[in-house]
Amino acid sequence: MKKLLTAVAMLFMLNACSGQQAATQADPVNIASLGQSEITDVRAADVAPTYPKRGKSIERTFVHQPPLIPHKAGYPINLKKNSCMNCHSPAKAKRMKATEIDASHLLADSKLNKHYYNCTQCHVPQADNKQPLVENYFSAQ
Amino acid sequence: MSQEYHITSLVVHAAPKAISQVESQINALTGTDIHAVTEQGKFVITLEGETQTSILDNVEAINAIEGVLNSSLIYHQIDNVEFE
Amino acid sequence: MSISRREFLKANAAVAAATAVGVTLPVKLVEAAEQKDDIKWDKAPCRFCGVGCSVLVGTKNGKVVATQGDPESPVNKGLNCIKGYFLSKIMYGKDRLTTPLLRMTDGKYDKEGEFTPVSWDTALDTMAEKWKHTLKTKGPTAVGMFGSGQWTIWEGYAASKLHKAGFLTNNLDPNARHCMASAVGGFMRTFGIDEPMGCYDDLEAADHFVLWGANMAEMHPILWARLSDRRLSSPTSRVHVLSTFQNRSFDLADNAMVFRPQTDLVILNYIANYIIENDAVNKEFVSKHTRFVLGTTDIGYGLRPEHPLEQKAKNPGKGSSTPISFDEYAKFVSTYTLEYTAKMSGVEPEKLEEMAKAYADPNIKVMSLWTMGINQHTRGVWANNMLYNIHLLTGKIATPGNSPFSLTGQPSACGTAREVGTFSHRLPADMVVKNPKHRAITEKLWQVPAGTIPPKPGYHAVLQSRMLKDGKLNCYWTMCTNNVQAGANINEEILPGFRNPENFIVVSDPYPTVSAMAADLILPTAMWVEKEGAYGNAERRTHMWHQQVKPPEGAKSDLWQLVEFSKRFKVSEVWPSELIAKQPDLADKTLYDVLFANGEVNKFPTSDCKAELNDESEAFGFYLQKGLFEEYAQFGRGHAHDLADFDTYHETRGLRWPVVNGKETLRRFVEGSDPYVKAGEGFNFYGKPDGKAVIFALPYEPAAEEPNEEFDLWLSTGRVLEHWHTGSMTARVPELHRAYPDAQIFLHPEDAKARGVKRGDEVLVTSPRGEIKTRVETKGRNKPPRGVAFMPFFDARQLVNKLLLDATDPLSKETDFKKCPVKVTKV
Repeated sequence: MKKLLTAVAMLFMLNACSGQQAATQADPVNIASLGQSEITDVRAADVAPTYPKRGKSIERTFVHQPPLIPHKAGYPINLKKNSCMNCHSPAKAKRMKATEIDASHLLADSKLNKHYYNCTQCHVPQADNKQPLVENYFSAQ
Repeated sequence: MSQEYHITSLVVHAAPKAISQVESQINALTGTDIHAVTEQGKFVITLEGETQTSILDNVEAINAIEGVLNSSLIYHQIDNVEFE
Repeated sequence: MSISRREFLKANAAVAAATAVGVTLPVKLVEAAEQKDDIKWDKAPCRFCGVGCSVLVGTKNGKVVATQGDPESPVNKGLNCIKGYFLSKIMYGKDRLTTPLLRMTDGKYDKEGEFTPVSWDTALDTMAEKWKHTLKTKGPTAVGMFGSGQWTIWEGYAASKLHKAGFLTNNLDPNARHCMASAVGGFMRTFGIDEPMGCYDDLEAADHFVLWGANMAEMHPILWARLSDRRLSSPTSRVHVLSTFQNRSFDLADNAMVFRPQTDLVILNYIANYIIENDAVNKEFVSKHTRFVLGTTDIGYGLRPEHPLEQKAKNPGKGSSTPISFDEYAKFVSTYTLEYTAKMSGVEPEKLEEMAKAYADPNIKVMSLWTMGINQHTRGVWANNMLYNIHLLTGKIATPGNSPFSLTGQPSACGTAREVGTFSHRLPADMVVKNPKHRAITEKLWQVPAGTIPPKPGYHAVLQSRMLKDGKLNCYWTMCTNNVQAGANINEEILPGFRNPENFIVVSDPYPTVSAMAADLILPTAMWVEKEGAYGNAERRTHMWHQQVKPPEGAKSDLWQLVEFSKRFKVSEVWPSELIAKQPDLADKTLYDVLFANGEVNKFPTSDCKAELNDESEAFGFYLQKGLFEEYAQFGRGHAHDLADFDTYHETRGLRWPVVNGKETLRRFVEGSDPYVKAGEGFNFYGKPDGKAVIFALPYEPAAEEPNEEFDLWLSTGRVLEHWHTGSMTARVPELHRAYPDAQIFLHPEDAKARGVKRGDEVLVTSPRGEIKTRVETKGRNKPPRGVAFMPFFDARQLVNKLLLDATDPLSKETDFKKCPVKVTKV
């Protein structure tokens, strides 16, 4: 970044000195990959992500967005059990103060449709110590 | 003018043998629409009405149709709608 | 469409009930359920993996405002994975590129200069000048392109024409080389025709599933959802999972097997041996429909010829074979006993036997599934052949639920890279440049003189990097891919070629990727529903979408870039006089006239397009996509690659080829399903002249490198659920980034302890080719055994593929990303 700024400054000076104008010539721009460093650099690892133990439900940002998980999500989903059901099944959600599984995921007998068994393929937790790498201009409006 | 509008959806499970018969009987009820029928005999149905009772009457009527094994209520909404 | 609130509420109710029983409703009704927001809904395939889900894209005021699973799609039946749900945000990263950027100093191109905005004309003129100079001074082998299995079908087709018939070079290869080339090699060697015989419907028809090194739970989540549904709803269904480390797919495994890297080859031969020894060979099928051959061995590791491993190999790069009898094959695999296999692989013998029994039992329908574990393998083609061996010996193939199924990595690895033939050795519809008849067919359809297409295969992906570094490939354009992050051996083989002062490198991308930063010219690209497209998924399904929004001002689609570039070349500037002499009227024409305004590609009026937007048609004055598609489709019609007419694809959720008389084909090679198999034949593997599939006798051979005293861990790199490839799109979606922010190295807790580190600690990961810093994870979704490590490659801040050796399968030229010895030390 510093190097780039110097280059820009020099370019400006050169133009000024030589009298050669570059009216149609745009200035260099500062772009960077998500790596934000030279490709050959060995960049220090960022701080490890942390996920909250519990949290309030996170508002959706567009229609049909699968709700995000406001807490850590390492609970087992395997052949024996689906731990998400412990709190989010229709029978328990109210008592556990958890978001109830959407009706679309249930069979007529109120049991979980197995097509939806792997909750974490659509619902993911959010690290509480991380910010977006770049801003996103998406808007549902 | 403003009035109440009730909308309900049901999944009705009928014996596969009785599908066509159940279909015609449901169609005969007022305010019902069949949106899909599967080979296994599952019907996706909506019921519309101006009162809770009219909806429940229809649910009962459907349950009473011969060949219907089971029905489950999926969705119910009451809306105050200005109908133009 | 206007709709009353009442209809809207009714539609909502119906949709809720339909979803509850998994019934699909007419899309009109689904659309109606969304009307209150004035969102306009249209379909498009997801632009990430090879599953090929359909999504409904909601647009409003010229922007995508929502995306959801498409309930009418037979692939995903209304469901998406987390990436698919967040497609709506991939186009809106703040750093979207909107102007070409050329490295300049003092207003002139300079390889060491800074990125400076230039106009499209300046960008393409500068490129054309470089290309012309190089073509003139060094010839067609000095220009080339690296494309993508994420290109639309017509982008790949246009690139193929531009290179093979325009610049007269075969130096065109897709990034699918890194992911599907071994699968292609396997299909061609065993069946003589590419792509799976079965389809996704087998997921509901099979009893047992065997995952060969594929972590479907993360990489093919929607197919995993279907598989899970089958496993959990059917009392007899079982799941066998094989991998070099425990991953999410193990959570639903009945039979979980962790094997030592490279010993999948041993296990595959063991199963064949088990089937033979237990008299489970389907003798009638085998004698009628298969033949046996012995493959050439000791074939090297696809490294540079001077590498000691290549020097040592007896038959480097050789794919030949000699016919043998069934008995000779049986003898060949007889040494792969249970004891030997258990010892070599480290898998418990009872687990191996349980799996072998499932394959051998004629009453159990088995679906085998694989992707990168088998394909990114220095013996990837062999491993593919050996998987088919098992299904052929038992006749468990091409019938419902009996299905060796090669999963695909990218959304159009099949449709674009493979079917269009954008590989350096291929032409459309499985034809190859080496075959004079194939070249003649292609030249005729392309209306170019005989002898236009060069007979020698061009540089494949890995060779392109080496040739760039060596200064033999000098003008290089990469599109829709990010090889400086995704390719292997970045420090030694890829980056030096990008920065070689002799070379001019162009990268087309929507965002400033790592590759873009290493380029000399960056071209800003329109993406996904900002253009009209067509993809082909892993089950031979061709599907299309319309342009639904405008790209940001200044960004242009890859298709526009390719076609517009062709206008800058006169035939007389790029073709030798002998070739022009065959058709002298072409001399003063441009490549655009010859390749695109050729009477075929430009024969459909723009009014044929049913969408409101089509920037390319508007720019060139004809329905470009339809013209390219219909010209391309001629290659396959009547040759077992039949595609439907263009408009049909816009009206449906896609069709599986061959599409004959309007009917798609679920299973190939089998009577009753495949229109190319005649009544009474039962099966016909018509890709081979004798109609017989080939069973290969191939041995275990070791990996290119194994852990040693210094580099004492096997490192495998790969993907995670939340990110697509190099993260250039998904890492710009805040929710996906925060779900999985940083790459980590997954280690066994004891391995961590032995190195004095624990979960969360920063470590230096080193190989002879480079180093990176990352953090240790010992409890996450992947649990490697001792001696094995895994790291995802999505993170641009930790370019882990720097560490990998560019060892490839010598037959497919696909890199092995799964077996690199590394050392992990505390920082």
